[in-house]
Amino acid sequence: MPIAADSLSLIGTVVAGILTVIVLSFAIKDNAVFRLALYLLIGVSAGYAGAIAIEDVIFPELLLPIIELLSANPEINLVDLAMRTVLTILLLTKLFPRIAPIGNPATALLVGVGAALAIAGAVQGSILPQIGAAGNSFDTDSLRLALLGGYYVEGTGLLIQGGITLLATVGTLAYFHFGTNASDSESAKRPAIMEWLAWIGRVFIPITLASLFAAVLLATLTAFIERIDFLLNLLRSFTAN
Amino acid sequence: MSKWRAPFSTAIAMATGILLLISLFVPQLNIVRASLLGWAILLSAVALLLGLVNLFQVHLHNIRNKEKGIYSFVLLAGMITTFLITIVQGREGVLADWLFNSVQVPLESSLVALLAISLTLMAARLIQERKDMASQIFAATLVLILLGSAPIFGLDLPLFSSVITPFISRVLSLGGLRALLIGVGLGTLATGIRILIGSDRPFSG
Amino acid sequence: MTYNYSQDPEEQLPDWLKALRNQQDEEPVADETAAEKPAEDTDGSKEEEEEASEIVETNIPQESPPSADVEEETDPDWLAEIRQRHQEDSTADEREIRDDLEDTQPRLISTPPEEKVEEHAPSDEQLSEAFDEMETIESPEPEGEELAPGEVPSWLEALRPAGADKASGPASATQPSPRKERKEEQGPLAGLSGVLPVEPEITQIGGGKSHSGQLEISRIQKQHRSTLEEMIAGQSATSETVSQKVARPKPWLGWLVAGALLLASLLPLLSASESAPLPAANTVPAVSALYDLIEDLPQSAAVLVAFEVQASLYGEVEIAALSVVDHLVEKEAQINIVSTHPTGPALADRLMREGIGETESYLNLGYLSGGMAAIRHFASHPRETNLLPSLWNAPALQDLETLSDFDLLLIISSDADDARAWIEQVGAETSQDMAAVSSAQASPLLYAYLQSEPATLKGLVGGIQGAASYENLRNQDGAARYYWDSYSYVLGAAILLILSIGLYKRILPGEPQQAAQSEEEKP
Repeated sequence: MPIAADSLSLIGTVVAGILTVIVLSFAIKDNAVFRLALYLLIGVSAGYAGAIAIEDVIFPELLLPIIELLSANPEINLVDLAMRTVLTILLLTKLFPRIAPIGNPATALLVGVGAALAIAGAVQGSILPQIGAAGNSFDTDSLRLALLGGYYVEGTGLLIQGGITLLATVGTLAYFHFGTNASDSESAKRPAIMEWLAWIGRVFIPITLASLFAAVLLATLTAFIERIDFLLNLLRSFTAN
Repeated sequence: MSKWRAPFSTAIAMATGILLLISLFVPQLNIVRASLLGWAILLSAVALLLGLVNLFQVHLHNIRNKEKGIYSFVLLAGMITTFLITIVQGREGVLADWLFNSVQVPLESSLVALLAISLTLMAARLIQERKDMASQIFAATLVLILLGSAPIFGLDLPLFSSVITPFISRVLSLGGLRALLIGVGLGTLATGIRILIGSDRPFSG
Repeated sequence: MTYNYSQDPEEQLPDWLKALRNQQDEEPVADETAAEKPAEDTDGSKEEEEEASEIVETNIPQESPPSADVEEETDPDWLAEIRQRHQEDSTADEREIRDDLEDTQPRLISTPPEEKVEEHAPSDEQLSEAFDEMETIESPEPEGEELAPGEVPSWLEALRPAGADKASGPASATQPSPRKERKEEQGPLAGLSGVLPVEPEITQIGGGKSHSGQLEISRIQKQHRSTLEEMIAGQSATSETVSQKVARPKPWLGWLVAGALLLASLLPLLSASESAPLPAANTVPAVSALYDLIEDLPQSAAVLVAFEVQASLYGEVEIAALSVVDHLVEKEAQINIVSTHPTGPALADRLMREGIGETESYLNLGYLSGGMAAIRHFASHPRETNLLPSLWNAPALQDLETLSDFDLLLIISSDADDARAWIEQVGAETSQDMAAVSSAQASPLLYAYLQSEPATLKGLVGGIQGAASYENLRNQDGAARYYWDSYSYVLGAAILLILSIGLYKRILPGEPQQAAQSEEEKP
């Protein structure tokens, strides 16, 4: 007898509430029920991901073309399908340690594709735009407008702001630079200018990390509020009923 | 045969990477790019399934050897149940949707909520224990940013919310973030080039 | 070898042997030095040795007995030779010959048969003598040569039972005693000294020697032992390491933090308070930029939403995304959702269904496997990706061939890396306007992309703060308004806890000294 949708929804809400309380009980003390809930999470998420991978990728990309090939669909690209089948079989050999090296070409293809995309994306999407922004720290358009308009204080502020940002960028990069010139002296030291910039970087790096930590803390506080609100609504629905 | 295996795989990685990199900038090689990307997409999904099977084997082994048997049993039971239900019903099926929204989402959300307590305590202990310059700058910046993120106990602090926190976020930390992104990009570039020239072989084994 | 004690030994002896015995009895043994004998030979006392040598000396026949001629004729060649030698040589060679004879000739002791029978059962005296004879044997030193005594290794000396000499009898001594030749008292060789015993001593009644378990340890060995003991003792001793004294977190602190945060979040939620002021409308330029982008969209614009949200931060991102997505729905935009996370499509359905209440104006294109490869492939050839072909037949997507055909690309992400992947891969393929709605934890990094040159992101709403500002811009209360008061109190509680727990040791008088002392006491 199929369970009514409302009942299923209610059961689901209750189960979600119980699981939420179990996880939050870790704040009091670590317990076995909490660990059981963790293992349940791993199992459910792994099973779900595997099913989605089959449903959304493997079936339409591999199984469906094979089925269509067997049903004599002339639009199937045989070479492409053959390559997909062979690569999949090669990768599946990784399940068996004795023949796992046979699957290396398939993983090599994955690695090669990933490396090429990472290079292209990093250069075009991150390095060049960020270096361009660092070089344009002073926002020359806004500065010119400010000076033309007689907003000298604001213009000075823009200059200072740009200078600080540029100094922070260069200082942080210098802090992680460890190259030295070859010398006959006993200890290898960075050039004085690099040491000075690295010292500036030592000041800005904690500021940057603190802003990242603050952001993570704010996100978790919001998630905490959302969970408490969920439990509160659950209690309210029970008391109302 | 075995001595040729490693160079053969390395040659595939190099050829694939270089070919794809060229095809990104040469429109005439679109077919090559589409094929390579399509194969990589399929292999990524197969690799995810391999991970699933490996997880199954590991915990089945634990159950047989009675090492944390009950935990592994719960894991396998949840995995098999979810996998079968989702495969049969599809992502939009009633039970599959129920499992996802009533079990997975609450568990994951609650874990992150638990993190709020840990991070608050961690920040307090940092101020308590560490007394060096970097830690003090870290702590001071953290408190200043938090004070300007929202009204405190319902009271807005305009000095922090309008002046100090925006200055820290958009000026002081922006330079560091920019440098981090440049550094990450350069590191990614270096790693990718090492793979394309065959120096790194993370696929062997 | 068995000996029949019932027989008269005298009658059984051969004639040559009888003659030797007679000679031995008559002539005194003058030899003082004992011939070298093997260790199995019996040790006799020095007196017996001298007596024996005298006997041998005296036994050297000067004149042959009456039956000597007959005996000489029947004597073996070697014996005849010896007789002749003794007759011819002078007294100066007697000792040397006697030594030779001692080596080769048995020593006979003339005892009457009756005495032999009676003495068959060894008396206590004989036993003690026998034990005494088993002392260390003096190795004979041939005349003219002095052999250096062999050096016994220390370990061999150590193996020598220390109390063996004491246990063997009153006559034993710690120093190796001079070799004593035992005088045979039984059998046909009775009276001769230095002969092999008729019965091996092992069969004699009286028990064996008792050995002491003590070892003789030399000085060097004692030094080695003490060094080894120090080494072993050093292994078990733990070295004191100088470690940072860090106090372990007290469990009640965690309870305090959890309780304070719970209380701070519950009170505004219970009271449904909305007193905390929202951020001003235009204080965050990034939020205003996104608002303007959506406001400028044409009617029924095609918007691609990259839903890169993980289930763990769905609750937080939902608050930020609801206002923006609601704005899109309000603009009647055709929302097309795609995700590179397996959980993305399901979470997107949840957002649209439960958050917006919309089921028709969006299309869930599903899951793109492959991370960056999927994004790049989708950006360049969206119709050739693994998405079901039937989806592309939908009216909203019929005219869409590339990503540039979309009016806006909105990235809803809980993680900066996922958003960065879309920015890097799509930005290289198209000049599409991109904006982002992110979790608070991703907004600092994404802000850097907002400020890049060229700007890869055109707008950004980050966390509940960005959502509150966006709702203020739209003049509509949403999830951000609902949670804003609680967020304000929880944030205040967090700051108070961080400062109070972090600084109480420095603020309270005398507390730092007590803390330092307690830390010093800790191991």
